[in-house]
Amino acid sequence: MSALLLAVLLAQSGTSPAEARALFREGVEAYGRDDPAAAEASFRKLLEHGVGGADVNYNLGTACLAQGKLGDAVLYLERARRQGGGADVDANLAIAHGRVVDQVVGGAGEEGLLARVVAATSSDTAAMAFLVPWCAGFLLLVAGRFLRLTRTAVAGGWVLVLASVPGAALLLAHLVVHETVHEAVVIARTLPVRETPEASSKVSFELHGGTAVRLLASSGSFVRLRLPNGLEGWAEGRDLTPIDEGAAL
Amino acid sequence: MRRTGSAAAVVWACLAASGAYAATEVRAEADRSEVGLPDTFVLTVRALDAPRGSQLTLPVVDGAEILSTSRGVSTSVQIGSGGPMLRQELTVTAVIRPTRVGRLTLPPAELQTPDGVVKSNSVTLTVKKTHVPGPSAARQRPDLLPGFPSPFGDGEDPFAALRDREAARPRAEGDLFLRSEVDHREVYVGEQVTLSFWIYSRVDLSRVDNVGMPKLDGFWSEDIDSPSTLNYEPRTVEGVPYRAYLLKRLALFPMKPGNRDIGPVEADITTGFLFAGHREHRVGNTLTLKVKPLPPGAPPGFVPANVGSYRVSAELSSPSAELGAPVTLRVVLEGQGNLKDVVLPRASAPGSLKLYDPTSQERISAVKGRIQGKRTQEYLVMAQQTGTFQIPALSFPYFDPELRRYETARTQTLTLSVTPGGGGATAAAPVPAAPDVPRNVLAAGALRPLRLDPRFDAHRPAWRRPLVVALALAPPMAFVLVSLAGMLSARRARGDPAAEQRRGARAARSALAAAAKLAGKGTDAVFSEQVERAVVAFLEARTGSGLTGLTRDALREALRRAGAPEAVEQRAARVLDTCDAVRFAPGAVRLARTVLLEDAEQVLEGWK
Repeated sequence: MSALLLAVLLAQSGTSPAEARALFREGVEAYGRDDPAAAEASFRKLLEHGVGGADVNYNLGTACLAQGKLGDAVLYLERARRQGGGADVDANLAIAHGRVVDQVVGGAGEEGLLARVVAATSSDTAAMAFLVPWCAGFLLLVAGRFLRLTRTAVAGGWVLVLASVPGAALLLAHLVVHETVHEAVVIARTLPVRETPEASSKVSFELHGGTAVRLLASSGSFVRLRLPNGLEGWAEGRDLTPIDEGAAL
Repeated sequence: MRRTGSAAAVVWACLAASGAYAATEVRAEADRSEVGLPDTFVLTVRALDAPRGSQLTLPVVDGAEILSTSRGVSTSVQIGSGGPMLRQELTVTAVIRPTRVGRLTLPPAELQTPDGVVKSNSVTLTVKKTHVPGPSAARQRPDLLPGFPSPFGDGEDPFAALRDREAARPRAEGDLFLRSEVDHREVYVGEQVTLSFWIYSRVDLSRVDNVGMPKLDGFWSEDIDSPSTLNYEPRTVEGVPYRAYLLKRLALFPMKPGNRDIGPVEADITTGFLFAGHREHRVGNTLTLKVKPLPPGAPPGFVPANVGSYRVSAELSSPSAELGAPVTLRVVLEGQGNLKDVVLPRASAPGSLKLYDPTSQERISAVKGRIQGKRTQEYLVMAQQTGTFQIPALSFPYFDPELRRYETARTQTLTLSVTPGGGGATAAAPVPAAPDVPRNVLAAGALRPLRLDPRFDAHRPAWRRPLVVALALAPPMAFVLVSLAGMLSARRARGDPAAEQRRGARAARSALAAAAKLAGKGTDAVFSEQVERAVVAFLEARTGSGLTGLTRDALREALRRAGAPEAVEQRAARVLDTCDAVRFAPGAVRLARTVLLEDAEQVLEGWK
């Protein structure tokens, strides 16, 4: 089914699966020739044609990292992490974070429990934790009706349904965070953060490429951002890119 | 200024009280009428019989600059026919240098008195382009052979050219003045200009205090020389010998283009020794530098601070190294210029070599008044894998102010050969003992490779996937549907006799199953009662009528009418008889529970 979906998507983007694979291979070969700029161009082309996924984002982020483009590297590796991740994604993302100029000091624990739990899990995990006991429980209950199972079996069904509640809560938390929390990465080499959403306003502090921020509001071309330690200010939205693909600033 | 003492103050007070003053008079005069552009002249303004509290002000001079000023007050008492007369003289002396050729007219100086303003005469001089010997030069020129004609002739002075290069002579207050000098008046941004502060003196100096240096805004400054003792060098100013004491020498590097003023230096200078010493305050001259911007056409990577004359070199501490052993890459920049401010190019290396942040060292000195030296950056290079790697050449673009053009200094490309190492302290993990075998120690800090086999599916959150939604909704809906169906079915079965029979039979079977659990425990009465209840319930469900209270014959008749098999009829009678016997004669009957249970089951199973 997913293959069918992919074929439909590729057809809509005007790129056949074979063309997409060829472009991907070009990027990998360019990287192997120690030409990460050409590799980056190939992977970017795939994204422009609507062909994405964790693998494309990971390769693009790694190619950017090899060129020292920290903002793009963190952005695409973060996207790859959210789309499934993997040990290689985590390793390169750690290297990218290690090279980011900005060090957010203090207030690391100010993140809410909900956000921390969501950050530590994936929506797929939450869905599995919910659906497995949920479906098994109701299967037992329905079977109890048909097969006249013992009361113990029926009670077991209800226990399983109850056991699915934490998973459901986690999935709900993912949904809430996904819909309400918007994060972005600083793409520009330096980004002045101002007191008010005006270009002439006093600069409070400066951010550098690769730093992840939370977006709170927008006013004109400016967005209000917050760092994990609570530091806030206004910055030009064009120098930030949302981590969620398709999200607007 | 010299202090006049308390006795003079007393006389002053007495005479002032008597009101014995003469009329006020202000006179201005220059020490020469003709002056060269590189020369200076002394303007002296005297105010005779100035009332107490008067202020003598120099005119604003257009076409000349005032290098230094000094003020003085003298008081004298004249005894005449009208009695003693107090005369006070205010003096302002200024050393002035003309700035353009032609006729220079100095406006009148003004004396501000409580009664009004008294003006002096104006002074006019002729300014020539070349040096014009001053009155003191002729006075000071030595007569080598008195009575004989000069060996150089009358009209030619063989030292004139030499004197033109000497500092012009300010004659403020005779023999002591401060002077600021620069080696260039026009420089480029970032180019060195050497600023020296001198004390010119014809008297002995014993101390210099309270030296006030001018603010050097817009300049990066480096101290070249700050003598701690008063040593002089002989200098001649227009033929007059002076002792020139260096106060301080600085290297200035202008940071912005435009005209930059350097304010005057001030100092308290003590002349003479011990009790004969006099303390004088002197203020030097103001200088103006013209700072030119760097010309256009800077090469890529040029940093505006890189002005001077440089050469750059790079070397590795070793052309080969074992894996895990550090190598030092040393980048050296040498030359003249503001070495502390220059920005060295940052070394780069292929990904297989890790370059740590460099340490920097400077060795800077002033030679002949020019800042020069060496700046060294050392990078620690750690190879991540074996092989032969090239460290790219570095280029250092700079502007050479002497050549007035941009230059680029370059290093050579360096090659580092990395061989398998023997493990050691930098090994990532403990290595088994085999010390004589070369090992390739692989650190974990490199980037992970790209993925080769792509899956192009766009990731969506779980709640946006149809399968997840279906799995979440389908089970409860199915359960609800099944429950509804069961309820409907039960409702429909309530009016159906056959269904009633089946339900009754099911209830009887459940009751018999409960009785079977009592087979091994409890009293016979309880057991038999449970069995009887199950059998009666079953028979009532099948016959569709109540059987309680019937005789055995009536029971048999009812069963027969309902179509019960003969064996069922007999077994049912036997079970009920046994139960009655247990109930009514508990001590007379020895109940076989198993047999009774089997009979009851036969009744329930034998009539389908």
